[in-house]
Amino acid sequence: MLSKRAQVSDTMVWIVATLIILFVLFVFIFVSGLLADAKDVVEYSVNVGFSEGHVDIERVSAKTEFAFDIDSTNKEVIEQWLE
Amino acid sequence: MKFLKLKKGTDQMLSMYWFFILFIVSAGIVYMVGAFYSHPYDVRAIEANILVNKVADCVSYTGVLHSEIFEERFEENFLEECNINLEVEQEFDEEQYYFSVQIFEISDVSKDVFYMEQGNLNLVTSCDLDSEDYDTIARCVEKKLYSTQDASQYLVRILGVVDKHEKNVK
Repeated sequence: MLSKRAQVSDTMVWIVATLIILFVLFVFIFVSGLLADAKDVVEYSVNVGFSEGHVDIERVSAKTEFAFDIDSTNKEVIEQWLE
Repeated sequence: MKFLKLKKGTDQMLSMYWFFILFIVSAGIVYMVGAFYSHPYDVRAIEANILVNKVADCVSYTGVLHSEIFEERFEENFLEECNINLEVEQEFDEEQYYFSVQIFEISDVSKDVFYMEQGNLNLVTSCDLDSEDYDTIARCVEKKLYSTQDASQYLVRILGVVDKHEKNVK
C-alpha cells in the first residue's frame, strides 16, 4: 500500500507537470503567431537632412520647402491644401 | 524483490512518458519556427512610398517643376523620361502597380492643368478601403507637394498603389 501511495503521488505530480508544459507551449505558439502577424512594415519615410540647424525632413516635403524658398506667396493656402 | 519489480515498471513508464513529452515539445518548436518564417514581410507600403518618391523626383526638382512637364511628348514617354519600370515577375497576370500625377494651379485647385496615370487602374478602388481590415487589398500612398515654374505656383498630387498581395500576405 505504501508503494502504491508513492506511485499515485508521482503520477499526480507528472500530470500537473504535463499540463504546465502544454500550457507554456501553447503560450509560445500563440506569441510566435502574433510576431508573425507583426511582420508588416508600414512606417517608412526617406528623410533629407539640412545642414543648417540639422533639420530632418521627409523627402517630398523637402521639395515643398525648396519651392517656398523660391516663392513663398500664398503660403497659408498652400499649407492648407497640403494637409 | 517485489519492491524492485515495482520500481522497474515505474522506470519504463517514465521513459515512455519522457519520449512523449519530448515529441510534443519538438513538434511545438517546429510548428512555431515554421509559422513565423513562412509568414512573409509585407513591404507594399514601402514599395508604394518608393514609387511616389521616384515620380516626385522626376516631376519636381529643388522646388521647380520639370521644364518639359506640360509637353505632350513628356506625358507620352513619362516612364522612359523618369526611368520608371512597372514590369513585374512572370507569375503575375495583371499589372501590380499604378501611379497618377495631378498638377493644379494655385489660382484654381478644383481643375487640374496636368493629369497623367500609368499602370493598373483597377487598383485605385483599394484606396477607399481600410487596409487594416483587409490584408489582401492593394496599398496606397498619396503625397502632395508645392512647386514653382516661371513665376507660377503649382500644387502637385501624386498617388502610388502597389498590389502584389500574393507575395506579401499569407
